[in-house]
Amino acid sequence: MKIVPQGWRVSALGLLLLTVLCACTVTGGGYVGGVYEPSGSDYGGWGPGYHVAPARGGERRGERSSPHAYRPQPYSRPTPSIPTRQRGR
Amino acid sequence: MKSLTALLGVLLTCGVPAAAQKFDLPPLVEPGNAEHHVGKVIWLDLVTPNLASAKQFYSGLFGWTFRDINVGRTDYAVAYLDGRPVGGLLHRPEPTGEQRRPAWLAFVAVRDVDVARRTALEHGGKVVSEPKSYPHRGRQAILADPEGAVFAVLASSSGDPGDFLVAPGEWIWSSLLAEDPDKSAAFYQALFGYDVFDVPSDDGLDHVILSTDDYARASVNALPSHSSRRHPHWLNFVRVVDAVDAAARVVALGGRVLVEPHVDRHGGKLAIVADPTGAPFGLMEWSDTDSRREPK
Repeated sequence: MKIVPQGWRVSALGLLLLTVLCACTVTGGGYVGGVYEPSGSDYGGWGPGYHVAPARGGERRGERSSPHAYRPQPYSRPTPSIPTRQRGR
Repeated sequence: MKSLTALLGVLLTCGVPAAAQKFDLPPLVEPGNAEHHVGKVIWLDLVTPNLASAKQFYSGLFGWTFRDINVGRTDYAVAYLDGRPVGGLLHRPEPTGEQRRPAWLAFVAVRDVDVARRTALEHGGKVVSEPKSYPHRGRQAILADPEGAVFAVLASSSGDPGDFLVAPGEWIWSSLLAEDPDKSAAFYQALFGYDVFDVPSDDGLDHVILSTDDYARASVNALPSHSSRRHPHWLNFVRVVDAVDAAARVVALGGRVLVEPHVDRHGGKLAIVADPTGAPFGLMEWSDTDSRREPK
């Protein structure tokens, strides 16, 4: 007659055990961020005319007729720059 | 039965405190705001095989301080400058048997990470790490563009940092070095809705500026034609007062100069350097008077 209550107790303990293990796995799990990249760049070809920085803002651009894969902004629109407002002003 | 009870007791004693620990990242913005700047780089993470060395290097170079987060097998340090979180340093062993290097990973602001993931896949991108949510931080995922350049997207739950000129020691600019800037710009335009400006160059290569909210957010540049090894990737720049002085400090702290300081498009100097474990990043001068026009 004690077989049923014991079986119930084992199942309950098993469920509790599983819950604890799941909690450990979820909250202590790895962080999604940071990736090792292929070591495939030596930066050897950066000549004097190779520019990657933002413009200072307001520069007009000469028209070019070559088609693009992207939708270009009209040449009448000057190149924007980075934010320059000071914090707290 | 007694042994099962004992095992449960041990698990409850050891497991519950571990379960109570959370990966407690700080919010990007405190107090939170309702600002959203889709397409803006709002966070950066370094993956490094030597967390202690990295902390020493970046502390010495930029004055960053750190708060450690150690949960399970993850060791992470949040970097701060003047009380503001500016990036994260993640310890992870270097993969064995692969030619890989430590790197800074740029997180670009989005409204919905899952939509960004789907859009990237539709336009030839790949998923590197599936979306995951963190309390206070928001939801983020790591993606790769069609050429393989890796970047992350982040929907910040506290809003995005405002559009202000960052202080020296903070991240100021990001550049993608790509095989085909034209196609790459089209991919990122589809993903983030960028306005794209092609800009004149003296080297005959394609260079474009990506913009949202009438602010330049990043550039896309053809990989230098004379590079012997070429791999498309994002390169991120920290604002410095003097690039020559900062490059010298990089060397003194155990890093390397990859591209010597030189004048770039904005009239100031920039340099490309690597930290002691080889993670590349840029140094960029930007004076308070460097802008001719304040965008509206």
